[in-house]
Amino acid sequence: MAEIRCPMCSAVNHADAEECVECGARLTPLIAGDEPTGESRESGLAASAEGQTAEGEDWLARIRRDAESPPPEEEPEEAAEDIEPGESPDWLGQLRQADQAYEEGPPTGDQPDWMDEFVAAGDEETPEADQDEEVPEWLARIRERTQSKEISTEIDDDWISSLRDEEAQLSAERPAGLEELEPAPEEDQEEEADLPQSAPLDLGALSSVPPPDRPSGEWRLTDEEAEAGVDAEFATGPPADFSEEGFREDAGEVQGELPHVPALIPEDTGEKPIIEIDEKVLDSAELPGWLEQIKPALAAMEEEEAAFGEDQEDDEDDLAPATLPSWLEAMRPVDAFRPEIDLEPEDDQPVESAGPLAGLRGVLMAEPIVAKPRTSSVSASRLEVTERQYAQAELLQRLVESESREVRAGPEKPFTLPITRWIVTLVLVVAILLPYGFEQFGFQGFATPNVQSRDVAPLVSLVNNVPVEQPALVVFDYTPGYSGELDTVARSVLVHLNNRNIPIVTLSTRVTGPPLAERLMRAISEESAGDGIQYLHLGFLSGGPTAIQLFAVSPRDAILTGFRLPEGLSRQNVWASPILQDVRRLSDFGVVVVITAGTETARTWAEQTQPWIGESPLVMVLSAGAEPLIRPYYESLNQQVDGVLTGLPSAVAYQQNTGQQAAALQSWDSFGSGLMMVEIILLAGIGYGVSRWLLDRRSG
Amino acid sequence: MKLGSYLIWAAVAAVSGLFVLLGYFIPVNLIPVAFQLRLLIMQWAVLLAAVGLFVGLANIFLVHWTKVGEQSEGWPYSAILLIFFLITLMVGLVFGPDSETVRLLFNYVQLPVEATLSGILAISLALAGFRILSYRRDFISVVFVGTAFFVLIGSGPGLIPNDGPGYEFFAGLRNWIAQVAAAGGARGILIGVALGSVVTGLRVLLAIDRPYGDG
Repeated sequence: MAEIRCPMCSAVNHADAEECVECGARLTPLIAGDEPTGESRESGLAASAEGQTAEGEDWLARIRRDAESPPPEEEPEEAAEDIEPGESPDWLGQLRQADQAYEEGPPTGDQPDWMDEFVAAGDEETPEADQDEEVPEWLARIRERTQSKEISTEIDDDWISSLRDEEAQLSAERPAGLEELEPAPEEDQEEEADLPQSAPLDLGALSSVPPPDRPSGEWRLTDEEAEAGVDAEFATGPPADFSEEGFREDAGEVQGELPHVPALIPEDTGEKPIIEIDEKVLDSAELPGWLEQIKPALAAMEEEEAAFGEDQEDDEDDLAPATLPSWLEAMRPVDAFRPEIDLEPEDDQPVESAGPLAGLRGVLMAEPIVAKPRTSSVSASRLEVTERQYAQAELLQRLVESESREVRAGPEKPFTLPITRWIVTLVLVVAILLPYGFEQFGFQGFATPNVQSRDVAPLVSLVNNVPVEQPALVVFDYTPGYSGELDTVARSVLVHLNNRNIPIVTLSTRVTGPPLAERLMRAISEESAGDGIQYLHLGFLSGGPTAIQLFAVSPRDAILTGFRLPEGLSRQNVWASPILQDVRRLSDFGVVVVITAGTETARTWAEQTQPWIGESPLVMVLSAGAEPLIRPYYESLNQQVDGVLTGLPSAVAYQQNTGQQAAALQSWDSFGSGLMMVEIILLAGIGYGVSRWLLDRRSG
Repeated sequence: MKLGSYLIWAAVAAVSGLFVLLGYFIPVNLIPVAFQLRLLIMQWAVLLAAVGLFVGLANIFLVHWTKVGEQSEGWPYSAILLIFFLITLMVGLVFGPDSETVRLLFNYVQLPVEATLSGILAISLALAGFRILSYRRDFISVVFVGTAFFVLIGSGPGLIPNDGPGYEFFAGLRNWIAQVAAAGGARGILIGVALGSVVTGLRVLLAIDRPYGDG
């Protein structure tokens, strides 16, 4: 559907709309029949004037008929007779007659009775004498002017003549041509007419605008026309001499009879617009006689202004007019705007097609000049982006877009029992519990590993070399969740130490460590001596890596109280225990064993204790998952970890090497059956996945 | 750059850090004053860490207290946490952290719960291994399942007995995966961690990073 955009508010309107639905601005020109787009827009005012001339007869005749409707018998016929082909219509004279008909009012016989009564009552109640007394001053002035117009109308029977009389009265007191610069003549403005005028308007420009029904150069009224009555000339007389020569000849004689031009400013302001006209223009133009007379006076005024200006310049030498200070000039965003706007000659400018200024030429085009998008001439700093940064930005953009993307809600799946999960759980539980009945069923169980880890033998040797008189520090740095694995593995080392009658001192950097240590050591102590003699709990070491370093530097300053100390040993003096009486620093321990499942804890102990541990070995008892990260400390040339024990197979191997009959062997069968079941589950999963893949390929 | 009181804090942090760092390279133990000063600085650090732990506990309490007060989503769980938080705290304060009551609570509540969670983790991993090729049939999934399978075979008794043929091969394969391939990646991680630690430490010592603020 065709649309038209309002030039005032840019609102979209229907193509047939005459006014904007938003701001009410007129969308189609008043004088042009068609919308001046494209070629018609370039034709401009001439086409509009022609259109107006062609249509003038119709609407004027219509107005005339409406105005003269009270006597409908005669007037339409006269109007039809007045308009003859090839002749200018006597629309102006008949319009005047229509006005007179309005002023005279309807015929008496046509008035209704109530109107007659109303007029009669008004005449009785408001006599004219009273009216003159009660009428305000402004209304009296208007009434006088109206009466004077009526009188002049009776004389000349022409409104142009009445206007000419008024202008002639004013022109006698002041130069002609100032009328358009001043408000309508008032009594107080007659005094202002005596004041010196800055410069008159050049009326020569008006000569280029022809009236709609007359050829160019023939529109000015001569003196004879004015005297004889313009309406008569337009109606029946021969064409008057409207040529430029005729006008020039008569210009000096009819200075006070120039046609009235409405004022450019409201009448009530009384301000005179200051229009600067170049002197060269005045000199080059052919001036009327009255202007030649006032030219010396203007020259004298200019001299006075120049003298005044020189005085002003003396006072304002430090800041010339229209000169910006340097700091302000530097701040001016010169490049942000176009340096100049090319204005086309007025004849080449298009005619405004819509809005309140429709039909005018030379209207400032707000949209093309101000609102037209253009690239800024200000050089913007170019962002240099590498390919990697661009790729990262692209990745980030995709992430952000994926966050904002709405996820389609899939079809609600029907509730199904997690049968697969239950089967896997059941199978694993049965596999772990079943070996405990192997002996009852006469099942021999899994064979012990005949291939031992290469780490076991060095560790056994290391523990065997730990001096008996020095206590062993065992650090329980794991959570209860790993107790099933690490208790079994660590027990082999602890039993070995206990078997060698090496005192064990426990410590933990986790709050759950001391209870785990107490639990495991109590299980071991049943096989050996009681607590306080073979083992001692230092308890919880708070402070993280810093506390570990502090303990390595000075154990007695890091730990002040113990955990579940034996009877007779004050908690405030844990270091008074016989086990710890010779311990001053970390190197005083015979061996440091760290039991942990976390790589971070193991790394902290290996790094923070290394400068202070001296010749004492550091042994790590690890979960299987932490082994790869700690092994570099063990396998390096400058070992920071002297022994590693990982996993149940290594623990079983350790116990076999040390001749223990410990718990590692008790859980070996359960470990083996559970491991075998997980392997079967993985194989089943692999087979299921491959078969589904083949089925999917076959089904396409 | 605006000069301010942060210079004092930067100087204190740098001097303290350098003093502790020098203890790794110089036998500070031979200089009693320096040794005691270093010990004092580390004790302050440990004390601040303990205060931080206390603040953390208080924060947990307040967060869940607010959640219960506003009755936001999941507030019953917060209420349960607060109840047992207070019970454990009171028992520890009244009977002591190494009392028999606390030991019973640990052995018969905390230890079974956490061990059960680890057991569920093992079952979940086994189930994931079963399903992985059904849901994702790509190269990485095949590598994952294959590696897990061979490591399990070489880790202990199972489908291939310890004394059976081929076990030695799978045991060696398992050791190679754990001690060469995985350890190689772990070494890279450790080197990266070490370099990051050195850079971070130097930035703090040189007052480029000021975690104590710029005021």
